[in-house]
Amino acid sequence: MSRPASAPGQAVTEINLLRYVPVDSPVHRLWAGTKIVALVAIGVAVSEKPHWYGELVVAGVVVVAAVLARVPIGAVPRFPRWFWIGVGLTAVIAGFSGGKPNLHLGGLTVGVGGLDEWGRLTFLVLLLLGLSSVLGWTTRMADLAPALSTLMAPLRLVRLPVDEIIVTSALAVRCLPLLVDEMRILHAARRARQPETPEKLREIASTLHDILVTALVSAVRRAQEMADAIEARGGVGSVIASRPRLRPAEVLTWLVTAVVTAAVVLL
Amino acid sequence: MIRLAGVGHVYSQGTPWARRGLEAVDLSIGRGDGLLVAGANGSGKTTLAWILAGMLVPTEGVAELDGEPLHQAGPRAALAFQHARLQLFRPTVGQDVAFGTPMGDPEVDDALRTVGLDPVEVRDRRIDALSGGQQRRVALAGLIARRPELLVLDEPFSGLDAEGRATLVEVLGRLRTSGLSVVVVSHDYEDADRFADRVVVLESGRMVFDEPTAEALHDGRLFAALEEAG
Repeated sequence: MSRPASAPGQAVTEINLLRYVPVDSPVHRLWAGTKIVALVAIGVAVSEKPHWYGELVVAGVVVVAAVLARVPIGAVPRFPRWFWIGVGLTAVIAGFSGGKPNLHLGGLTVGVGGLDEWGRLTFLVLLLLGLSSVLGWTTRMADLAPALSTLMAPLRLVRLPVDEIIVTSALAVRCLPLLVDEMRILHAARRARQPETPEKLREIASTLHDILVTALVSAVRRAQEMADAIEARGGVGSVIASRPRLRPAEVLTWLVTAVVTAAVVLL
Repeated sequence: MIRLAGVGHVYSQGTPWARRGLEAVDLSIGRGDGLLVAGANGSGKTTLAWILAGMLVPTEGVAELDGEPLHQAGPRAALAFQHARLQLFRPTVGQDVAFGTPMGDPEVDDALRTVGLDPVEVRDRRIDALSGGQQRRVALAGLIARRPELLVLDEPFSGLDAEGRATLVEVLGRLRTSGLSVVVVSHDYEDADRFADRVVVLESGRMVFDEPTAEALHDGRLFAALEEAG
């Protein structure tokens, strides 16, 4: 069965994930490389062996960084309802798996080990998104490549094509909004041709197939055009590296990163 | 038939990236009417097109088709995008025109003829073997096949050669005489009076000009309004 795609919630909206918030703050003024190092160090430490204490420390860091960066609450990503339904479903499934520790409710013993693990891993994913968001909110896209060029400089010693890797990554990140916009148009174009919302699994699969194949054809064409344009301008060239300035804020951030990373590992 | 009253739209409302796309637009479009929407880049033309086609719910005001909210109009309103390739979902022309409808070959051929394509020549051709202009007309045929009452076209003439453009102007004029309301968002005003009886100009999301197309073109008022709108 299909139904008309008409609910206001289905209106096409913008996706604002990892978008720069244009305000002046101490976090905005930090060198991009410092923020990348902090993100990677804390992210790897908390992911290596996720536990509640470590995750709470990192959650504190995310909140303090967002407050210092003067990021308004409206910038926090809002997930669609289907996302939260999916999260709830996985919680139920994890809950059924039981496991220690056990919770005694009157005469009933319930194993909440599965739920505990689910909670830690789900929170970890949200924390990693939070850390990435702080980087995205406070760092201009154009500042990332020069900082990466400095951070990855040692890899040149083992003859890795650092510039090419950075330029490719930067292009991929820069093209993300284009891809999102194209998916938005594709979704709308599909609705224009078939306004009924698919409900059967087969209809949903067919819709996804149509959108993905068309997106692929379009993306390949765009990539080819971009490659031609880069070649016509003489190749990717080299990335001009940026250097950190030894300011108190930078030193403090490196220190905080070291302390937090150590705390997360040792707790 | 179509009524917009105090329509405005703010993108990413409630976030640091909020920006106004449209403000206080009042507009009515009757059956078989043709409307040209003009204005500079970023003036709100595409936002208006998406709202008229029911693809975007305005954050302010009322947008309705025969008293029903436009975003609930389903196939009664259709939007042809600038990039035609994104609107083509099937490998061959015939399959694509029939996509989403129960129509057979005779109806597909009719839709292709309506947009000025020879069914015998193009029906079995692969979409990616067509020129940009042909792809645009196939996308149009696919939309027309659903028999909408309002057809909105976003920059339909961009990238077309003189012959392709002339054919499309003729097609749009013909569609209007069949009772279809046509809204064209374009920077290209040549022969606009052949497919639009009214022209509106947008500036920073507001409608600043609304006149009959023929007069506005011939006495130069349209160009003066566009120059003033920047």
